[in-house]
Amino acid sequence: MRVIENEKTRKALRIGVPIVLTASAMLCALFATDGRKYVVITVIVALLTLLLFAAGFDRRRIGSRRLILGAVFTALSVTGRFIPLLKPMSAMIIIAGLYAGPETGFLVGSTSALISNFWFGNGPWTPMQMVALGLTGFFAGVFSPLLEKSRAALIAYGALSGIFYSMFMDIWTVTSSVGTLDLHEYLTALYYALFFMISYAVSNALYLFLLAPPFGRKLRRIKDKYGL
Amino acid sequence: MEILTVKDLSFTYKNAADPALENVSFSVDAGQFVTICGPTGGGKSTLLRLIKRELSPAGTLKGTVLFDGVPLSSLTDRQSAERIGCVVQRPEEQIVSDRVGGELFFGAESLGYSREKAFRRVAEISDLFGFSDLLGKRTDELSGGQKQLLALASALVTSPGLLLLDEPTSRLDPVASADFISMLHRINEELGVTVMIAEHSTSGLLRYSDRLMFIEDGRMTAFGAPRDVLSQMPSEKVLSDMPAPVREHWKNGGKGECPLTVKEGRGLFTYDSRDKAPVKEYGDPALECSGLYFRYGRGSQDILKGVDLTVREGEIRFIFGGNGCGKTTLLNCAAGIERPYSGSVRVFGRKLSSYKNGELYSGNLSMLCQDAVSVFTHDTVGESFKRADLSSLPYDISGLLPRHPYDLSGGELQIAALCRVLATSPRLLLLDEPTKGMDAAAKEVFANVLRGLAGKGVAVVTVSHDTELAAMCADTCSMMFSGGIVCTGDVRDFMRGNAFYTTDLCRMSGGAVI
Amino acid sequence: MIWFDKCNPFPALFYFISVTVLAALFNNPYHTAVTLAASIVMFVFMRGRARVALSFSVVFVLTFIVNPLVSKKGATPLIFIGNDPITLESIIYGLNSAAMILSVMFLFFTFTRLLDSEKLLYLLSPFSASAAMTVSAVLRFAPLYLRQARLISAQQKVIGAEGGRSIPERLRSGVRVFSALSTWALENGIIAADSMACRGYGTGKRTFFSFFGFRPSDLVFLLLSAALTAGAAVPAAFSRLSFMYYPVIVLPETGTAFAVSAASYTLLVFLPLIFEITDRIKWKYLQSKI
Repeated sequence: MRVIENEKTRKALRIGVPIVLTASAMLCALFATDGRKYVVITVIVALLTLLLFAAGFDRRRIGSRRLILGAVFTALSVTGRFIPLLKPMSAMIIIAGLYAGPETGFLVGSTSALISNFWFGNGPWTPMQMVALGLTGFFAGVFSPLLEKSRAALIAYGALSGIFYSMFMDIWTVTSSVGTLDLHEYLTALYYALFFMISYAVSNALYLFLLAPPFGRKLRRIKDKYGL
Repeated sequence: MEILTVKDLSFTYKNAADPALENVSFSVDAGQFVTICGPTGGGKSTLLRLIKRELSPAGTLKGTVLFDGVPLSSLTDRQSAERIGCVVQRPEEQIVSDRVGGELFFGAESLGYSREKAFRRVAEISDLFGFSDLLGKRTDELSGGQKQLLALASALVTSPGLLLLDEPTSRLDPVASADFISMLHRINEELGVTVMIAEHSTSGLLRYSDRLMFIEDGRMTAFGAPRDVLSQMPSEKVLSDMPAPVREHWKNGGKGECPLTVKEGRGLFTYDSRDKAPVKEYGDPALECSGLYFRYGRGSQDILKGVDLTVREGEIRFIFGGNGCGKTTLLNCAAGIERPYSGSVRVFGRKLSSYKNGELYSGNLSMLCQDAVSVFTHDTVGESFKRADLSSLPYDISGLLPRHPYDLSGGELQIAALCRVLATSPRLLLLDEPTKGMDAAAKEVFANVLRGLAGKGVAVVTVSHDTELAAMCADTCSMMFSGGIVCTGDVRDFMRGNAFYTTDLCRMSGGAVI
Repeated sequence: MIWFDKCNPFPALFYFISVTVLAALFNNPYHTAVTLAASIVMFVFMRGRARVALSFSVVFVLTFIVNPLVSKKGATPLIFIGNDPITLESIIYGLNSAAMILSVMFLFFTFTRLLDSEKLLYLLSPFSASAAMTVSAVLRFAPLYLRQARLISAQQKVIGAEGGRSIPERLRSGVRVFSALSTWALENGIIAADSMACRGYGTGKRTFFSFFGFRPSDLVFLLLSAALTAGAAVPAAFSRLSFMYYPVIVLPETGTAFAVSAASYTLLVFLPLIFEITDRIKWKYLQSKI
């Protein structure tokens, strides 16, 4: 059953719902509080980004092979999160963006976060994680001409995206725990999370170094063999 | 009324010099059941893929294909998807939804059916196939046979006029493949769907076929009613894929009408004497399992319930049994992949735990798991053979070394994987379903390799559904049922005593030959 | 939670979003306590394991610690770490946020348990058919890949191709298995994609069907949730209902507005439990009549 049968209504809702949601959330936040409820705003903004993206993604018709390619990348990165010692999730997302474009990159990043959290624990942080990992894949796609040319640039991007992810998620840590977001608090939180930041950066760089070139070869082979 | 007309069809793959199909012409009437036979790589798949536009490979095509009188190329995407259904070899990979219901609705949703039409089609098809109680079930919990039936059911939801099947039963066990074929027959009979099926193992198919087609080296060498086609002797390669009655008919000179089924063949041929078990001396015990109990978790069901098994050096042992009887688990326990919670496994007289630092897997024991491609982790076959001495292998694979493992045919892949496993020079070899997706010629090669190994004193334990392969090379057979070994005996006695786990030839000859 | 499990996913989603957002907005001990109580009862109703609850409490402790360490606000320092004060206010604030996070985790546990893949697709498909299709395929592939990864690594082990036990060697063989898995996944992905194309994927506008209906009680639940959400939020426009933590703790204004808001919120949080219990009683009654 479709919730709404009429196509026009669906379209209107698709655009309308996010706008109404943000507006009402902002109003709620302002009314009910002293206007400093960043945690709600953070989550809402994250959700919005996802909704807008999903709607945009749907407008373009994509073929079954592109879609399955995205699903394969996502399933690989979800599986990657399960393999002990080896957690090449972000690396896989970057590779997806690199070889399949920014949109697929975003899709793979955000869906990986959503689906793997079904095993590792979903929560209000899920939208944040979805956006963070989605952007990781998105920008890998945007910079792909550069990243494909130079392995050093790719590894640097991996390390930077690890740092970005950590910094992005610390916004959640601070807003959810402290409620507000000022620079001093944020920096302190970053300091306490330094270990994680470094480990993300190092593992991203390492796995990109190990996995990206063979992946390029595999994809080229598939493209040649099946004429994608 | 012709549903499909193929005129002078030739096709050459993009980077290939020789055509894969040459001047193929035939026509199929609506409602017919067409079986296509021929050796691997002969062009069966190519033909089917050219008819199903969504699967057509890149290359140059000459000639015309008319569907319902209309050239294929002028069908809309929607018509092609809706009117021509397709089921391919691998049940696992063609399912895209995580639930049975989602898979059944897939075609209806893709074609944008109205709610009423979609539910009506799905309701009918799922009642016919018995999926109505399974709609909420996860697809990965289905057995291989159920998965393939699901693929068939979901291809039928859009009520296609023509159904193409590319070796749909080659990865199923005999029970599941018989179920599949009889369901296919019902669909052809009751729904009037035209069926074109390419398959290696034809023993259950001929009786339902209105037309039989042979395709060898890109040419159609025969097309007509099965009895007419088989009134002339097929080439050796095609004959080896024919059912036992047809093979015996031509072996005995081909006099009279060719029998198509075991029933028709019974009593037609005379056998001088019954095969006797040769007196054979085996060596010391290679594998001794005693009292093995295994389950995955403390709360789950026992999969092995006290298995005792001894296999000696130079012996080729086949283990038969239905899905889920614990065959694969037994092999995994013997190979040290799984650990039984009770009982012991000894390899060449030593407990498994006494082998340290990979000693077990270099020169003692090796195993070929179900998915042979998992042997190869590199981009070419050769890279996996880095340090191996190729001259010591029982089969010359030098031609396969530069190729990508996924470009090999089923038979080539299995033999290459077997060679990689043998490169560790094991004295005990464990094989799990080694002949899935192979044609008869490839099985023959495989059986010869195994015989040669046994001659050198290697012990071979094979878990399989393939009674034909066992008849070619096994010494002894065991039957497993519900987590235990029920009986063990010489391969001939074993097959004579069985009604189901036996070859067609054995059934037909009343046990004289296997 | 049989009633809630059979509830249409949209009202259920509305409930979870509403409760989470309101709890975060009010951010005061009363609301936190109510949410925590309801979420724990639901956790018990869902037969959550003690082990899961324990892992949640680890997050609780961590969140609780972060705030006093990071936040330098508050007027009542208790102790100093180096030059940084740990204030009473920040401890109380941390305790409240941690309890809120804990209750949200319990809530999401219930939500995740209830949200099986069918419901997820049902929720996603009105927004994006492609995203829903992707999610469905991923849910199909992920368990398949895990199984194949285990198979590849077992096969590599028995042909003696697995390296030693040292960390770099394990890493290298892990990467090799993962790379082989990827090749397998890409090749088989093509089969899946072709099988989709064969059944008309991409030929036109896709529809989506599911077996979810909208029962009368689902509608009642949705309307009640909406009304109670309004009842909890609107009074906040007329009166200061939030709890001030910094620089010193100031309690919210109490009065009619607070009472209405608090009562509505309490009812809202317990709403699924109320429906669940009503449903149980109804069934007892129905069965006794037979």
